[in-house]
Amino acid sequence: MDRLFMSGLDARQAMHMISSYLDKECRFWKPMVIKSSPDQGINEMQRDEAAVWIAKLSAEFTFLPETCGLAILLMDRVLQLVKVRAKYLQCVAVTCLHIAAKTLEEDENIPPTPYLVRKSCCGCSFAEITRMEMVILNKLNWNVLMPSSVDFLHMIHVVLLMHYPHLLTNQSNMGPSEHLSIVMRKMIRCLTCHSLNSFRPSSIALALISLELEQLTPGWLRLVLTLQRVTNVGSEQLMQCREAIADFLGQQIHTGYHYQSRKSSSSAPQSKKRKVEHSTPDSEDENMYDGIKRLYNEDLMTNAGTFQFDKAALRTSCGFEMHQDFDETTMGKTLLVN
Amino acid sequence: MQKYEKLEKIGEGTYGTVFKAKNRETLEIVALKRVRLDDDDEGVPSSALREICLLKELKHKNVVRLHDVVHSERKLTLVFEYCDQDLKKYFDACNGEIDPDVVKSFMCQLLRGIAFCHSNNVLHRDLKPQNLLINKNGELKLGDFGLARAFGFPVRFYSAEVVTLWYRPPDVLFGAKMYSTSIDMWSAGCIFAELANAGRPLFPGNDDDDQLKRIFKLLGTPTEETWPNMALLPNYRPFPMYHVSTTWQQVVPKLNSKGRDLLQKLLVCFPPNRLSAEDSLQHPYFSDVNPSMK
Repeated sequence: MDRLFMSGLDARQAMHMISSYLDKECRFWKPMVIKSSPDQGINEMQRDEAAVWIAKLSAEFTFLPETCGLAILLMDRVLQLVKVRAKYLQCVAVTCLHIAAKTLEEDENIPPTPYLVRKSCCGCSFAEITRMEMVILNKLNWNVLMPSSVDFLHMIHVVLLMHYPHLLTNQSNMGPSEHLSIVMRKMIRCLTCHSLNSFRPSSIALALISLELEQLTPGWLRLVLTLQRVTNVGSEQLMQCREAIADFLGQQIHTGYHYQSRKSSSSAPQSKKRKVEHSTPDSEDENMYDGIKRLYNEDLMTNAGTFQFDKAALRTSCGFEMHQDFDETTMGKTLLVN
Repeated sequence: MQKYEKLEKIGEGTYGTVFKAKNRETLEIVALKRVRLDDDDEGVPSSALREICLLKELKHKNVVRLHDVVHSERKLTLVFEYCDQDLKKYFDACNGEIDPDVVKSFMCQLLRGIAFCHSNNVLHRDLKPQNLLINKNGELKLGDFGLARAFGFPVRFYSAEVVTLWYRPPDVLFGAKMYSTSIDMWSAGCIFAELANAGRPLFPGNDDDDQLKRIFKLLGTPTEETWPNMALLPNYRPFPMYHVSTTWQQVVPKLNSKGRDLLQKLLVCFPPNRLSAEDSLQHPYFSDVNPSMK
């Protein structure tokens, strides 16, 4: 087990953290249903597009995956509480991302509002974002620090590897951070699917992990049962959620986006970071390497030990892979629409 | 803001002016923190946003209570419980003497506040006497969460631009960005010594280098054995090999041996070896603390 990956976290702390996340989830989470009405409200497809857009911006600004997760969660809560007209959806989305960044990112990584406005091409002014921010914060009663499925994924992954430290080394050649970044990529994709919004963030994270475990080991069911006890996710809920996720992720595969994404990479000049393919284990390494290189460029640190490299690669690779995800999802979407 | 009658200005926080005020209905005395929202600014300052959303979750008698957030035209007002003074002012008024029982009581309350924050996955990152509020019942409360943040797993890179110089741990002085709860424990150690010496700061450095020199002169310069991988930290630079020449008895003459032992366990350069808040509370130094206070 990668001792440094856990960085001093013990099992007791991990369990404590999960239960505090679950407690908050109980207090704040409600299943979300978007009613597609003929008037000017937001429909499901517009919601998903906005979520894809948040994921794309989040990657461009090299935000943490948890910032992306929180931003989409905040947007969904706003859509539940307020009837938003379609023309304001982009303003809501970019404001939620700004709030999530201010909450979770360190000040040096939060883009100044004018830069955010320019780079996001969100079409709203600086003053509109500031006003929208106040509206949203008041509506949410300033309760913005909520655990998203990204946070649950982190925690469940940590608990899993604490209980079964040899899981990844026995079943694959992946390190924990490498494995997490692959699952995280899928998680970000799941966040852009409105039909998963009827499930709790904790259920989504556990269902996704259980699908991964099924690929990894024949003894997966036993592991999932343990994790169910930790997260209080009922079997029926879990099965339904697994099915919905498998449907959604499978659907994307069947649209043939793999082929498409490769072909279209030349015609997408704006995403130069997407030059690395990730379908083979080799290119995963390249991803990591690229992450480290980018880290140097960003001057996050000058001389780090291997340990810190690992971490940095993890952070950047998650951000980095969201680029690819976004491209894939949009690709899948375009195909679906076509 | 008709609800509150402003009484007097108390001070300046990280991002706003603080006033003493009275709730016109309940006559309750509160502290108001004013944040100006300018249109050409960043909207709600990130420090205010974090302070609000963290304090909404942290309800404990050793953490300052946020009662309300009021938004009016171009202004955001945070309504806090009122405390008469902060520990800095308490030091200024104590005439160089603090009863050992008061030292112990304050330290115990400080550690309880920290332990509560840490168990709720919050790092304070700016513990210092000015940010510790004291009310007239002798209750101590952690205040000013403007630099605080939630932490989770995996451990992330955080900012190294945190904690006021005198209370900043050596790892952060060397530019470490991967810290966790141990960052607050160093500050707690510095504050403990300052309490024991009735307000004389332990490491009043002038700049980063001077700060590290003062620390190493007292504790001895760390080596690769006492602090593995120290040289890999971003801003690491070698320091002369200082050898310990002062005893802890000279450093904190009025503190008893159990207290000195606790202090030494907090002021440890290598972060993983610093005692946690929860473990500190189990230290024999606190064995005779009045259980009613616990």
